[in-house]
Amino acid sequence: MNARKTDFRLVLNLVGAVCVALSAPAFAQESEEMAKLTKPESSITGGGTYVSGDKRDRARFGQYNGMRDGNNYGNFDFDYTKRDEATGLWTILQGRDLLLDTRELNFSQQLQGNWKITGEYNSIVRNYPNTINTALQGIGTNNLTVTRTAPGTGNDVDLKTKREGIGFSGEKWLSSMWQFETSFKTENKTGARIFGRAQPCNATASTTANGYACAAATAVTVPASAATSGATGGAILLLPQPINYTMNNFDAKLNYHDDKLVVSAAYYGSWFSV
Amino acid sequence: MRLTSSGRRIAGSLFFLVFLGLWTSVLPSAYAADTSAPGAATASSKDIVLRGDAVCTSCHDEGDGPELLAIGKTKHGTKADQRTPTCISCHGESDKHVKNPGGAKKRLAPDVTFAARFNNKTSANEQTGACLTCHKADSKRSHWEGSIHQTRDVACSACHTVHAAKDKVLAKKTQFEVCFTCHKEQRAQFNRPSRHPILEGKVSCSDCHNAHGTVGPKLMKRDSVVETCFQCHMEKRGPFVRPHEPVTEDCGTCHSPHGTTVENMLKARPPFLCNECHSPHGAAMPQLTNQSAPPALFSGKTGVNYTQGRGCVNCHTEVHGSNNPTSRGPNPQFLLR
Repeated sequence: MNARKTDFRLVLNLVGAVCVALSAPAFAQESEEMAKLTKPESSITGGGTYVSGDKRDRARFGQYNGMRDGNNYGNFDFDYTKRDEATGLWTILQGRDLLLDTRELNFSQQLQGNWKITGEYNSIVRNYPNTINTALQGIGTNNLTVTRTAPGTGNDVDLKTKREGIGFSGEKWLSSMWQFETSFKTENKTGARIFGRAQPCNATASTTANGYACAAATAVTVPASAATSGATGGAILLLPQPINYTMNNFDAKLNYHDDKLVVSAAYYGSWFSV
Repeated sequence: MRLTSSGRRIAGSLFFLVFLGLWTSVLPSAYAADTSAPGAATASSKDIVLRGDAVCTSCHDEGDGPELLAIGKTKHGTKADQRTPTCISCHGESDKHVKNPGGAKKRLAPDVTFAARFNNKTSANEQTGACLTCHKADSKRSHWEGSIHQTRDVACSACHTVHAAKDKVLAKKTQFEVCFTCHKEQRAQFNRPSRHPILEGKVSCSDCHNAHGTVGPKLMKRDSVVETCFQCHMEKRGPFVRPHEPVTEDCGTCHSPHGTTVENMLKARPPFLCNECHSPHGAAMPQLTNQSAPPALFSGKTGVNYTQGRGCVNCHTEVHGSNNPTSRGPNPQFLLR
């Protein structure tokens, strides 16, 4: 019985030792798993989308998401995040919707509690949800002409505007109480928006300077007391208005903080050009 | 061969030591493969994520609450920054929670708790105070005291998820989900046809508002509503030779920026919106009296007093202001083109 007991203890020790030995790779694996739980991660995401219907079916759905004109779209996002454990330096690069017109890219680098810089590219497309019927010809060119046609007999046009902007910002802690911040963003807006005017209708469009021959269904009769210049009714002339704006915003701010006082001195400038 | 009692102990211990030696010779290389991991860097102290977290993570480890450890992925988990917090910095010493002196089956909550599941006894001001200890020294939060969120007891943790690798409220694509949790009227408005592209993540609530408090109305980022709107809609800023006063007072007079059912986020459709301030052309609109044509006695100017198309802005195209200097027709003072 004693001998059996002795053998059993030896076997227990042996099993214990083997378990400990086997646990070495397990510890390594555990360490990796722990890192997954506690360390910043990067990711890449790709995908495809099929959107049903035609572009007018998607007038509301595709107003801002960049998926109005076609049926098939790809998508690609990425997120690169790195933290230097020794210095605390963060580097982040993100891309969103890179295969769509609504793409954006963001970059930032930061030494926590010391300085931070960021950069950004962003594109916003707005598809005007209503289709307009316009007598304007030469849209998108420098030669715009209005052909005097009866309302409803012009061209169907889908308008859109696009904003493309880049921005930069910086932040520096000069001491534990002094902080300097600055940012600059420039954005260009292009495209066309709806524009137009009410138009008197004349019975004989070709002979009157302001006249349009209006279909009876679209014209509103003008009372005799107000009918001037031979107008017999009124109609709406819808036109695309070309847009090409540039907007710039600049901020600089010096901040002071202590337990009882917060003071900022700032400059804000904005510039607009057509 | 039969071993004595002491011999057996010695033999057993030898076996153990041999394998322990083997294990310790393998282990360093395994750790070396990931020396940059925060957990590895502090292996000697048994801290996992934050400095001095061993007292907490001995229980709240990867088995108990892996989501808690994700704080290591955030700015708070940057150990190289000596200002970053420990568990105790935010949750307090929590002696009774740690030691459980009465041996209660359900331990007392930590001194300072942030999640609603604790049936929270920590006031919003105490919760916020834990954050402001470090974060008040930043211009973006300098107007927190007295702001609408502060006075209505909204704690930082009502919006921010500190232990998450990605805080939803900090990302443009998900921020609105957090804001809509309370601001349900705005959620409904953003589901209307004419709106800013919040749901697509192209504009975020924080592009216009600073939830931490501002000197402007409605937590506007700039000092006024118009200053905030003009950041992106600069073409409407002017100055104009022929201004339209509401444009310099408050865009919200005519627009509801969170969304409406009328094009251009207008609060109502012209001419009805315009008629709230301006008399219509003529005394009556034929559509309002179910007539197809204006009565002869109420003709209105130029006879154009119908609501087709864009209503008033069919003709008053420069409704935000005109730079047409002429004083002759077609009457630019009326914001015609």
